[in-house]
Amino acid sequence: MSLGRPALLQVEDLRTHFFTEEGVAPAVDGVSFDLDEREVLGLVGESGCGKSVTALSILRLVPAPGRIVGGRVVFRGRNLLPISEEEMRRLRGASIAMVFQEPSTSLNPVLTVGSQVAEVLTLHRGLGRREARREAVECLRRVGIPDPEGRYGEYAHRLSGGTKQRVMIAMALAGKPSLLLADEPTTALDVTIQAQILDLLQRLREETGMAILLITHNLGVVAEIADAVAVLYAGKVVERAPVRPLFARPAHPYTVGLFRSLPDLGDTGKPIVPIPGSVPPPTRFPTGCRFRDRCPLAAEVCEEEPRLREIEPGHLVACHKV
Amino acid sequence: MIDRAGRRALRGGLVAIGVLAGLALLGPALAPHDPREHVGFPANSLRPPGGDFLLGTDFYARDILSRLLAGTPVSLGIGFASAALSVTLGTLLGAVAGYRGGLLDAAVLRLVDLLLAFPRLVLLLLLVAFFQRSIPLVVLVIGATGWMATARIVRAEVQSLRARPFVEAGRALGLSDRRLLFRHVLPNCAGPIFVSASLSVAAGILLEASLSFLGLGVPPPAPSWGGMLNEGRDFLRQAPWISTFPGLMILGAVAAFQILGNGMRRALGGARRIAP
Repeated sequence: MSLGRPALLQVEDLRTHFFTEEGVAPAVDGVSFDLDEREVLGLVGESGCGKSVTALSILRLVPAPGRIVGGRVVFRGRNLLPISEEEMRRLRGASIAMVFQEPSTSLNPVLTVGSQVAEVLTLHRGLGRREARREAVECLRRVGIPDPEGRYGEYAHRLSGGTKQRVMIAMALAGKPSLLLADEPTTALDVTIQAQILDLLQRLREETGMAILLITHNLGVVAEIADAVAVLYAGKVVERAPVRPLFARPAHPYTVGLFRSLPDLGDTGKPIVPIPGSVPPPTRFPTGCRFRDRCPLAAEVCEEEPRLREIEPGHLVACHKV
Repeated sequence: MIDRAGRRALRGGLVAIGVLAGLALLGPALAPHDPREHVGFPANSLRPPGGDFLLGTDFYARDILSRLLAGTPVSLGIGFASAALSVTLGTLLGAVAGYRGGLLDAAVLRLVDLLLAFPRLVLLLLLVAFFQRSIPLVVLVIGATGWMATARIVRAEVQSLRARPFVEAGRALGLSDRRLLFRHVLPNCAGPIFVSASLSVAAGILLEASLSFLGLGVPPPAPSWGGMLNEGRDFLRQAPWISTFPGLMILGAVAAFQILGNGMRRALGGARRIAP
């Protein structure tokens, strides 16, 4: 997060609420972070804490009954929230692309995978049919698919999970975006394949210079490729820091809990301590600090909402007790 | 996966339709007489099947076989054309309603309910009563009253498909709604649409025969199966062959498309119910 130059993406006080029959669910409630060019930011948290909704909000694809009710999403100096749907559509896939968790269902079952990559090329780069086909084969090659010409005419059900995710990444990168939103891109894959996909993302970032917003609940994945981390809990950022200080000195009790519940590969005999309870449903978030029901440090002061404050340069925490 | 009965239905339906199509194309070449010629009237009037007239003659001494053959492309053509019209209409309306949802969806559904509340033949009689009889009119009214079942099926399919992740992924890549609907969602409905089309052809052939039987379909002297059925009505006792053979043709053609539709439905996973 350098000074002087504006960040590629600035999310400021983003609020996305779901207006359900049981009441208003503030799934994303005042989330802020910056992302520089070439930076990889890990967005971390349990299921239901608002990670995916944050990414969908950036693309303005929040499903009904959700609505972005406040904040700004500034991409290259321009707030995306007020622009027209048509302008937004042209940005999707071309400047900001997204890769989803489930590669199996994210590909159209009745179109060949190659034609789906080619479609993005004709759409965003104005290529003709033949050029698009040739370039699509190149895209498949670039994401490490062996025999890309042969794979071009294949349907999704004939490919492995890892290959399908590579195709999804090829589609996302076909429009040469400068920002990739990767929503749990490795969760549905085998562990060995996970590592390959992470390596691929790392390599593509170096080659293309795009920034990546990596959404995951897996701190191991973050450690592998992220530069900075934002920890999300119940729709709010509770801690934000570059990756090293965060791993060395996690401050927020929730972040500490996440690390404690991580199995240690070296197996030092350290017990795995789960965080008690689960994220409450968004219609019933507690007032004040939303983690206080589950927090070992909870005190009376926690009934007041904590603000993000800096505890060391670049390391922000929203907790009264730190 | 398709079961044995389904495979048999597919094969049987296709073979029968192939034979019918062959007859329709080669009909004029195979016909022993001119279908409109009164071959030696009145001497050859009401000749029973056999000899020079394989399926007999009608009151006007016209050869039944030749008239059946000449009627084949008319009946099949009207069946196909009306099905093309109703399936296109139903697919478009159902797809847009299912994809858009909301008020438009509700409006289309109510219109479908309203039209389905009328017996189709009554609706047809009402429509043809206003116009000069012609083959295009028959196609038009059969097509215009037959799109509702397709619309319902396609709407339901599209509604479930639009929530699938690949549609969301497409949207995240900047594809427009029109592109998503027509290039990504609709091809996934191809199976049910084909089933619906096959059943629509069967219904179209039957309705054309009904209209012609009532004297409101294909205008004479063009031969049509329904019209021939009607012409034989007065001679059912002396010359049952006049009505029997066109009746069998109608039965065979309708059954062929029904069976094909059933086979396709089974191939798509059996349990899925598809309205006729």
